[in-house]
Amino acid sequence: MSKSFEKNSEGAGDMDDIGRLIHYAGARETISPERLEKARQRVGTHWEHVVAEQRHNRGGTRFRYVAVAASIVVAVGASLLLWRAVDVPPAIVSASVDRVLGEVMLADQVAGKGDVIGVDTLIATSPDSRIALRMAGGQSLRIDTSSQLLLHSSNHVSLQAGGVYIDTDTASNPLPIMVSTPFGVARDVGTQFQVRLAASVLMVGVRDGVVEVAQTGQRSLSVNKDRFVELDMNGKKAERVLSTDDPSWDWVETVAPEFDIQGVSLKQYLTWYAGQKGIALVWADDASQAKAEGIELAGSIAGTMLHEGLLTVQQIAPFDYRIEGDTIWVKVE
Amino acid sequence: MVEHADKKLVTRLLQGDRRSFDAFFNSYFLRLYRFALVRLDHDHDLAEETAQEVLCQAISKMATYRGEASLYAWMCTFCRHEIARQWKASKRARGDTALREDDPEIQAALESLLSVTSYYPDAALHQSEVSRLVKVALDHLPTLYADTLESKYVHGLSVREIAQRIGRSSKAVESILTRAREAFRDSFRSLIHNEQRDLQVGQCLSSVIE
Repeated sequence: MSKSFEKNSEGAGDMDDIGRLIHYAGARETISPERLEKARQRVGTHWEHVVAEQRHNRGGTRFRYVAVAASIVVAVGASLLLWRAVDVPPAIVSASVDRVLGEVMLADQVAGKGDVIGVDTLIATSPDSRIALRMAGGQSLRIDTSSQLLLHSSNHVSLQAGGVYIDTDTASNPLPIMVSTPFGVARDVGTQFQVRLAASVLMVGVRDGVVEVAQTGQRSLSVNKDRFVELDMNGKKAERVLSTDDPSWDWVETVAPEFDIQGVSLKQYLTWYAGQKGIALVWADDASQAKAEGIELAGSIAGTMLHEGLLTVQQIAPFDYRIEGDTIWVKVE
Repeated sequence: MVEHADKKLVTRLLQGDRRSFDAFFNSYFLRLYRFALVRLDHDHDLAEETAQEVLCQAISKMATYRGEASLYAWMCTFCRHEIARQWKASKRARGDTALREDDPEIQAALESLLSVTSYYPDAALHQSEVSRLVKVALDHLPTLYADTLESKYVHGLSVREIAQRIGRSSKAVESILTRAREAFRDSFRSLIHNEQRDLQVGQCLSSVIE
């Protein structure tokens, strides 16, 4: 509440011409703190996206650059160069669609590959559909069947039903991603993890790195690599080992983003493959690694499942592999 | 005029500094909102949306900012484009939204904050226009100056209360007020001075500035 000017402790006599003029004009228009905060969040999300994009471009992998830049081009309906044009307002982008299996709804629209997703979009998968998103910061986010997820911004989502998998290893300089649930908030510390809601529990499984879970009235809980915890409103209920080849990870592979092999080296592809599987890539010898670096792939593995893609690449590149536990061993001829 | 502080702010923003983002948002969102508001028939929702859009556009193009104009003036250019787009999109008949401060000469004057003659606002007939110009002049000042002037002269806060609110000493607030008054005087006089070039408005305002 504004005080009367006359009650100013300096007194009316303190007011010079400028004071009278400003007093006479009255307060400038403003908006409510709630709306101001919402605007700050929206602009802030866009700023985070631009900063992440710049970092990406400076030291980034070409693949990631193209993926994110493409989504922006779709957003503004123009070429990459036009993205800089003055008259084209950029959308406030949180993510873009990397891959869709079945019919997935983005608010009231059916999702398609390459679609750009703005802030505050509800994403709903059916019992037979899944979707993979590329967040503005470069992270990969995959949503399992029968799920509902609200995308607040490029680094904050709310899981309302079902399961979500997040891989922040794919981003060069990722901001942490927060997953809010009715049971608490899971926040990554550079990792691959999934969060799932069941009737009365929250399940968090970590394939790599660490996830912190914060619950109201409870001490923050760290979930480490290869661990699985179940929580309810009162905190941790159960914990067990979760190996890399546990069946609970299988769905993640089915909706892995597609990889364009055209022009990339065998080493790049295998590194990506291992990252998607959450396993370590080990070369049989130094020569194998050197050769893999020099082999350039051609063609496409679009539309294949993760392992089918590997088999396809093996038909065009001379290498053997075996997967043991959390390692893929590769020998290049 | 090269705005060194603005360039520094832009550099830090592009480096991903969160505090700089907050400073950027706090400094410009409401100013752009008000800039849009008077040009969009006082449609508050549209003005809010426009201010958001303009900040996003500016962030996207920030790497191209050279500091030839103040950051605010630079963003006002985007705002005018965005307002024109809004009018076009709404398919409404566009009224005359060109305001006096949109005149390039007046923009330049506000930019350089030239000093001219004295003024005495007493024409009730032009109350709303003078009020609007005062607010325009305030929005062309650094946010700290404008907010401090408004706190003191509109909300009636004492120097000590302002000092508590912004976390400075009373002496520092007095110094800010002195500088803010000077800046406001220059800004407003420039605005009024350039008004005189407009015959219609010049006549109306002659009583104000004589």
